[in-house]
Amino acid sequence: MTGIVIRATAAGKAANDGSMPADMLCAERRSPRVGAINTQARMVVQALRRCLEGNDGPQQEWIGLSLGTADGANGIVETSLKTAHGTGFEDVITAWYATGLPNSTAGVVASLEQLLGPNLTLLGEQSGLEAIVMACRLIRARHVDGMVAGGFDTPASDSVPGEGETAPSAPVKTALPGVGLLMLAAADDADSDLVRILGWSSDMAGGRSDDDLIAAALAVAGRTADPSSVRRIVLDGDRGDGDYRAATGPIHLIEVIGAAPASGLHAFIAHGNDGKAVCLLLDIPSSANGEIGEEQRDH
Amino acid sequence: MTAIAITGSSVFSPNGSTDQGFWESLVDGADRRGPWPHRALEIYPVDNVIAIPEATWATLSDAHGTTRSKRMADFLARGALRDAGLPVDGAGRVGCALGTTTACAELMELATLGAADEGATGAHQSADLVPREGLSWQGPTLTLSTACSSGLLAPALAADMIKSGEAEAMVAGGMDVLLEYTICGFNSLRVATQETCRPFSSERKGVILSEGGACFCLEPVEAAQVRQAPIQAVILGYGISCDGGHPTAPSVAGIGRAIRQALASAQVSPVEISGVIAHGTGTPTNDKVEIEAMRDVFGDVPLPPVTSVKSAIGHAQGGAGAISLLAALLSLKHGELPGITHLGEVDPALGAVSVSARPMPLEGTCLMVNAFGFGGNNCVMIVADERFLATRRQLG
Repeated sequence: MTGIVIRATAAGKAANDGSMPADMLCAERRSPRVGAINTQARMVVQALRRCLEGNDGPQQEWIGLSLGTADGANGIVETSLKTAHGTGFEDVITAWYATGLPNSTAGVVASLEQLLGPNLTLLGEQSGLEAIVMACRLIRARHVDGMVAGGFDTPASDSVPGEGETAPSAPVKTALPGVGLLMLAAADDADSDLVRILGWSSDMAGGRSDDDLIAAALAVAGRTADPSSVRRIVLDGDRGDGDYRAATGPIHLIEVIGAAPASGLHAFIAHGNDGKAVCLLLDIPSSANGEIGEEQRDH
Repeated sequence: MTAIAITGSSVFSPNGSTDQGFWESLVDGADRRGPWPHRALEIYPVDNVIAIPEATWATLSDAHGTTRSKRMADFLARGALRDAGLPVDGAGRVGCALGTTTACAELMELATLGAADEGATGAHQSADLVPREGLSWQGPTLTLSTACSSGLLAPALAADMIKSGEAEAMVAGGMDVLLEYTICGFNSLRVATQETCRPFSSERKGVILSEGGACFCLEPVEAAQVRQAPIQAVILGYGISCDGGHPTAPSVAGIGRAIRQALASAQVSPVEISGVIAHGTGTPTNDKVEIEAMRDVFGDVPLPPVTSVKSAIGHAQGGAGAISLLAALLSLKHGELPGITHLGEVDPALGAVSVSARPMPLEGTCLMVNAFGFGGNNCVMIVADERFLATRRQLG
């Protein structure tokens, strides 16, 4: 048995008005281990716990965490700077620096859940899917037995539209809080009924066709197949009202898997609004039911 | 097992953008501290940094990017390719992996303070540091942030991407720029010193922030040999771990696990390590934990000579791990470890540790490089001279 299996998934999405359902956040707001737990960490912890429910795979202390985020903790950066300039340095809270770093959420979550494996944070619009790819690489290279991987974002006010032309994410139409995580592990013989990730590829330059991306993912998988014969699910760069920043790709991937697509090879291709594309080559087992079209475009 | 060669490197540091200038800054004992010229507030208790001089920044006028971080990334990536003798347009199956702590927040800071350049908008501007203009990366690209371990972890992960066949070569490294947010944060945490940075000294009082970075070109040793590219060093292995403990304080157990993994993946025993480029921030906590973790792993084997470059050029945050890796490469080239500038008396509480204010001759060709970051992120890499690999192959 080869490849990386998806043992569990969990996603959470804010409503279009930005409000988050209660079950999207873990109940704890403080912990003796890490102190205050901010919204981002509460959101990721909640999804992570769902992913690890009933985990009978790798021991939790050897599981790693790989997260992608476009905005990081820019909201805290913004608050810290506005406080220092507004009311003075004395009012800056000590914890703001550590919690304002892009990797602070991954660090807090690992501390709370005692995940002692590799702890990665990738940055950018497509980083949620890239984080999944990175987790697959680490598992395949045998650096770790299992990884929880995906994306999250809670956009900062100055990074979304309506705050002027210098907003870093000005082209994004809407930006909503969201999280999408997958529990990944090396496949074993008992995993024949689980969706597997066989290969992956990406394109930053924007010059690769979907066929090229699939061919590259097939090469990573060690498969020889005509790319045109691989079913494909394509997520366009224009997210419309459904932009959860780095969580968008993982959320959509989870929804596709949940729709029980037809068995066989599928290429999940996500084009980001930054021009970057990521392709995951999925092997859907025959135990799954349902059909998806030859090409399904969302949003 | 595919061994990975480092065939190109580039640096942008407070002492310029050449290997020679960088090495001089590690051994000349000069004090490069000063106030940050861009501070917008006058009230920080400590304004004691090692900044890149404006004249050096001006040399990036032809680099692409709307922020200093992006211009530095562009300069470093092209420099590493050029040094390796590979096409600077990124042609071929070449990828790029860059690490940073806060460079991604630079545009946010500029926007918040109303100082962003015109045109510095767009989602793609916000977080991804990998340069695009005139480059056509055909391999994997990513921007990584694991705090101050980022600059070492990016080359480590890049080595795996080559081993897995995803890329023929990778450009990888790390960088950071000084930000108001960072200076505010380190003041808030009370870990910045008003004096010099003195890792492992009984007089150490904390960190001096700096900025800069380094990048490397990685490729399989065999590929480098085929095209007769000079091999600056070979990456033998690495280890990564997460403390899973305190958000900012390091852990002996977590760092120890990364060291053990690194030695195991490199198939190297502690006795073969001839020197350590430590994370060595100069805070009492970090220095103590780092030495304890190494001693825990090395057991009865005496620790090899240990140094830290942060005494000379400060803590470049996400750039620090890459800068330490470059220091390792240059140490192998020069046959000595740079001393710890301003060391003074070695902290007796650390036990028997071989550190010195003067350069220490290397008695072997295999070095360990450490980089740790907030969030409990640890990365340890084992690098060696090409001769080490050849000797190992001869011994079977």
